[in-house]
Amino acid sequence: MVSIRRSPSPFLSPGAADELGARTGAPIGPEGGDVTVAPRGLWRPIVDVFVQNKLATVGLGIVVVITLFCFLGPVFYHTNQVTTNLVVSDQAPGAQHLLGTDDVGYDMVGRLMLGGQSSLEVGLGVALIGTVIGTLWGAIAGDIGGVVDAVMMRIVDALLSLPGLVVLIILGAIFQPTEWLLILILSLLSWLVPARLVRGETLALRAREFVQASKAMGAKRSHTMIRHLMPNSISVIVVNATFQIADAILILSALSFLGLGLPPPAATWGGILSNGLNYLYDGYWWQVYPVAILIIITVVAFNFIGDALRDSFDVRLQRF
Amino acid sequence: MIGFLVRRVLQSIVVVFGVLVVTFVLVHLLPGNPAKAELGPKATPVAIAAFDRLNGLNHPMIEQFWLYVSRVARGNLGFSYVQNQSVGSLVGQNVPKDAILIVASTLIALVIALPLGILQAVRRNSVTDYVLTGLSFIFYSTPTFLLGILAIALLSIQFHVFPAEAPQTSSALAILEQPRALFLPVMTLALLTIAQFSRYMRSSSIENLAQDYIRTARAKGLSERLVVWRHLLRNCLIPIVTLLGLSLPGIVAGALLTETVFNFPGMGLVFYKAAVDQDYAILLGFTIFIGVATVIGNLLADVTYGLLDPRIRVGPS
Repeated sequence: MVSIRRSPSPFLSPGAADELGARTGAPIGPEGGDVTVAPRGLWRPIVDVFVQNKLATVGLGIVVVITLFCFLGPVFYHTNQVTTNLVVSDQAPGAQHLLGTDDVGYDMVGRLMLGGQSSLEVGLGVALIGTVIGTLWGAIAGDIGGVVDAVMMRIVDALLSLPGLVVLIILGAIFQPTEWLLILILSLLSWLVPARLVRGETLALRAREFVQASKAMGAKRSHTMIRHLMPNSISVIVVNATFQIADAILILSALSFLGLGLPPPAATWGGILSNGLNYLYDGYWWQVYPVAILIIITVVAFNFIGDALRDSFDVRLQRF
Repeated sequence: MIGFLVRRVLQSIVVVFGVLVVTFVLVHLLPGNPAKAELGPKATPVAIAAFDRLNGLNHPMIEQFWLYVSRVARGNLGFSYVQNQSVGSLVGQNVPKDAILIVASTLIALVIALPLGILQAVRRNSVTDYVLTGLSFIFYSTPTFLLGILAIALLSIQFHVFPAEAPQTSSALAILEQPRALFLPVMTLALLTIAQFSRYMRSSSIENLAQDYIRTARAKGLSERLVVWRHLLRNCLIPIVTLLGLSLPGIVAGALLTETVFNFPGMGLVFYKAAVDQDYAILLGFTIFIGVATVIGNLLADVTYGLLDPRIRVGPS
């Protein structure tokens, strides 16, 4: 269980990792403070998953390649993604345009990069904001308990009862969508599930000795929460965040299909796909299948990662 | 059991109240004001003032909220001036049709996903398991609208097996008379649910297979088939009840997209058209309806779970 060698983490300085590890209550052993038994770093188990699980590694590889393609690609492959050029519309793939052009003459490869940037940014942003707010909400509700907990969790229940897509459609119809606004709107709903999960974890952790000890020593509530409750819920939080990126990309594509995505010349994968589907029967396959495959493999890749993390942390989620 | 029931019902009432608060906030988020939302963007100031007085919108916020709650409690979901019809009657007309789509696809999904998940658990880490896992990942990750449109392209346009459009009638009974036209929308929605449920069944069965009662059944000398069908399946069915309750909002969202793709004349399509027309009365009325239906669905799921599994009744939720 306890790794013997010191485990430097890529996310934290070795000292910080060990300090956090010690605080997360990693077993020290009967000798108490024996140097041969170093505490595990907070992020070490997450790194281990990628070393041990092939699917997770494949998933991570796909995510890295696609991210590089979308963000670094435009540096090497210059295309005009601002002005339309109807002279070259609907061209088949060739030397000039590797994946052809769309109905208003945008180069498809460049379009995929641009759409990927916004889709990945929205996915990541939504998962990040939702996770931070949800974690705080859940930890506070779980730690304080009583009436505060009941009120906070009923708010979550009420929002969870509303079908997300329906609320998003209303908000999308009210506001003119920009990328930041889409992130905010999607985040309004993405914090609910992490809030529930972290509250559950907090309730279980609250009764544990190291949390009791921290409280008995007079630690402030905020200290206990940030130093003990949240780090120990990290596995649930990370697993859920991974799934949320995947879900946000899918929801964004659904919104784009309904005409509530980003207006041109901005692009999202969903928008490119639903635009391309209009020309499915004209035989313009390059406007449909490359983007469809990109969406599917990206979402599958994030699900691979989430699945592997969940299995190895033995986290139970009401999903899949 | 009575205490559990009372507590859950009280909780649900509080949650319904919360749903109303959220929709009330949404009403007041609307650009302009509710009067404009109902009367249209070109409403004159006189008409707006008259509308405000008529609907109590000149009262303080708290009072307005109370009026709103009592209006909804009397079953009045608002009036759509675009459709010139009350939202309540629109719900009444369309919900039965949606019920057909949702119930049919969920039943099909259950019938397929349950055995599939168990098969994967029993043959864990075999080629069958890997192939089915891969398929469920792919179907889960495919946007619903893409699935629907590709199904039309393949099965309607290419091979002429099924009609591209859902049954175009106004009554729920007439829809049932055209099962061929119903096939594609139902299956599109079902595929998504199958992907989700079979994954859930797989992990739930794997967990159950490690339980003592399975070992006991095997030790009694039961055949593997009996162990699976009599003992494993029954115990795996219990959490499905909760899963159904939790999946409801997701299935409703899927139904909305499916209806848009296949022009299925249900609530989802009306809702989508309302979003395009900015018909806020319908948008909010439907949201309240679906929210309340979900709360009731979850309550029923919890109660059923309590009846099926005595262990769940004690202790706080």
